[in-house]
Amino acid sequence: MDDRISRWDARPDVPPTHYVDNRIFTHDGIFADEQEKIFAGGWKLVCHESELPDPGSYRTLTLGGRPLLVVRGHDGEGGRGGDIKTFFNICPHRGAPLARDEKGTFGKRIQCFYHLWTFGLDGACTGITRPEGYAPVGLTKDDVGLRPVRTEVLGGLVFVSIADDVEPLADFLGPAADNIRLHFPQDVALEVFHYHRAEIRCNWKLWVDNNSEQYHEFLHVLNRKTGLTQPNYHERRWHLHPNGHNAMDQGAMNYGGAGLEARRDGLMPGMEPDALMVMLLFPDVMINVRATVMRIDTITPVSPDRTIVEWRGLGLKSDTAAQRDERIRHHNQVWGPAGRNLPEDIAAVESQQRAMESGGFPWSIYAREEELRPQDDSNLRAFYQEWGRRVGRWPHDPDAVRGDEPSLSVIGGAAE
Amino acid sequence: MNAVTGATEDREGIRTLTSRSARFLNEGRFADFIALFAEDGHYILEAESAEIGKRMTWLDLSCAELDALLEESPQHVHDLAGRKHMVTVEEIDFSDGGDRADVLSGFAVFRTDIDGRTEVYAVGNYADTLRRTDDGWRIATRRVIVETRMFRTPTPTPL
Repeated sequence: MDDRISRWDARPDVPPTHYVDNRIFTHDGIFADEQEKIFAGGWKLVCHESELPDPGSYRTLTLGGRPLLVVRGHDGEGGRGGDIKTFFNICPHRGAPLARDEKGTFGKRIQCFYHLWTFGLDGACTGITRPEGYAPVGLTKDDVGLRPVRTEVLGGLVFVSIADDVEPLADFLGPAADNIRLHFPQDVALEVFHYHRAEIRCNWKLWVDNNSEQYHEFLHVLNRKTGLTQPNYHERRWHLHPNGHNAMDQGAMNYGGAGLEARRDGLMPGMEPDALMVMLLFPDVMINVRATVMRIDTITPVSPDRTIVEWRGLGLKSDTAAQRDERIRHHNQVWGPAGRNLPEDIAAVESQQRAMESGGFPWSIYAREEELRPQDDSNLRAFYQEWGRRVGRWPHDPDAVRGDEPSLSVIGGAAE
Repeated sequence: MNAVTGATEDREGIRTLTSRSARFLNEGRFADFIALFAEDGHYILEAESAEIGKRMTWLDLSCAELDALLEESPQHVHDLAGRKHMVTVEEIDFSDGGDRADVLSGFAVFRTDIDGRTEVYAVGNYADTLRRTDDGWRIATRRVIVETRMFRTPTPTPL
C-alpha cells in the first residue's frame, strides 16, 4: 500500500493523549453519553445574575433536555430580591410550562396558564383551582410543588445542575474559582449588555476547542495584527486546573496594529491595559476578556453535528452611557455577530465537522508541546482527558473499555 | 410639490435606491453600496434580545468606517454562502420641504450554501433616513433592525 495512505489511516505516532479519534465528534451514542454524564450530570452556567434584576425576574432554558426556570425570589435584603432558585419549568399537575417565554417577571406567585395552579417563588404550591375536586383522594397543595434544581451563584454567575448528587460548585471549580473571584469581584457589579446566539453545524467540543486554542490565532487577520506580533506573546503560560478548567496569563495586545483604539480606560476587573485573558470552565463556559469588555460563551449541544452557542457581552453596571457605548463598540469590533473574528471561527469549525463526518478523517492531532506557552496543546489535551473521564471513554480510543482508570498526564515530556 | 406625499419620481427614486442597496449587497459590490450613502452617512445594525430584554447595537459605523471594514473584508476567511436580500418598501414619509424622506422597508435575507441549499438567514426592517442631494436621494442613516434571533454563521458584511 502507498505509504501515504497507510500513514493517513494509522493512529498518529504520538502519545495517546496527543490525538483523538474523530468519532467522538460524530457518534450518536457518544453524544448521548455526553448529554447524560456531562451536561445533565454536572454544573452548567445558565446566566448572569444581572439577567434577573428584580424580585420575581426569571429566565428559561433547557439543560440536558430538561426545561428549566431560573427565578429570583422576593425574600432578599436591601430590596434587591432574594436568592436565585431553579426549578423544572413544568407544572406538576399536567406538565404545562410555568413560563412560556425567555424572560419576564413574576409577581408574588407563579401561575400555570393551563389550569391556573399557583406556586410561590420558593416552589411551594400555594393554590389549586377548585381543590374540592381532589378532596375524595386526599390530594392537597402540600402534596405538590415545583421540582427544585441545584443552584449556586459565584461572582454573579448562576450555575445549576440537574444531578441531585453533584459535588458542591466550589469543589467542582477548585482553584478556577480564584479566577472567577478576580474577574467577578463581589464589590463590582457587572451587567450583561449583549446577547446573541447561533446554531453552528459542528460538534460542541469543536467550539470549545476553537475558543481555547491559541494556535489558531493565525486564522484571524485581527489577531495576526494585534497579538501574534507582540514581543511577549509566547511568554504567557496556561494554568491547568483539576476537572478540566484552565486559564491563560494575560498578555497585552496592540490594537493600533489593526487600526483600532487602545483599551486603557474603564478596564474590567482584574485586567491590565490592552490585555487579553482566556478562561475555560469545563465543559462549556468560555470567558474571554479584552481589557474593557468581557465575553462569555456557553453551549447547548443539539446533536452530534449541531450546537447552539450563546454569546454574552458584559460591562460594569456603573457604566456611564459613554463608557457603555465604548464597551459595546469594543465588543462588536471583534466578537459581535458582525465582528471580525466570529465568522472566521465558525467557518473553521464547520469545515472540520464536514471532514469528520466524511469518514475519511480519522484522527485529530493535539501534539504541540511548548511548556504551557500559549500555543502548547496541553489545555486541549486536559479538556479531552476530562471529557473522557466523565463519559467513561478514552478520547483516542472511544470503543475501549475504560473502567475506573485515571486520566493520562497531558503535559508534554519537556514540561514534566 | 406636496411634501407629505412627495412627487412620483421621488417615490420611484427612493424605491430604486432601496432595491439597489439590496442588489449591491447581493453582488458584493460594496463600493457601490457605500456610494448610496451621503458623505456623512451612518450604518447602524440593531437587534432586540428577548433573552436579556435589551435593544442592542451591533454595528454603528460612519460611512468611512463601513468603507474601511468592507475594504478589509477580502482579507478575512468568510462564509462562502451567497446571500440574497429581498426588500419591500412599506412606507415613505417626506419632511423638510420634501428634502428628507423616512423610509421603512421590510427585508429578508436568504442564504444559499456551497451545496446549493437555501434557507432564510435573517428578517427585519430597514429604517432609512434619506436626504435629497445634488446627486439625487442618498442614505443619511440606515438603521437595520434584525428580528431573527437564532442565526446561522454570522457575517461582518452589512445585512
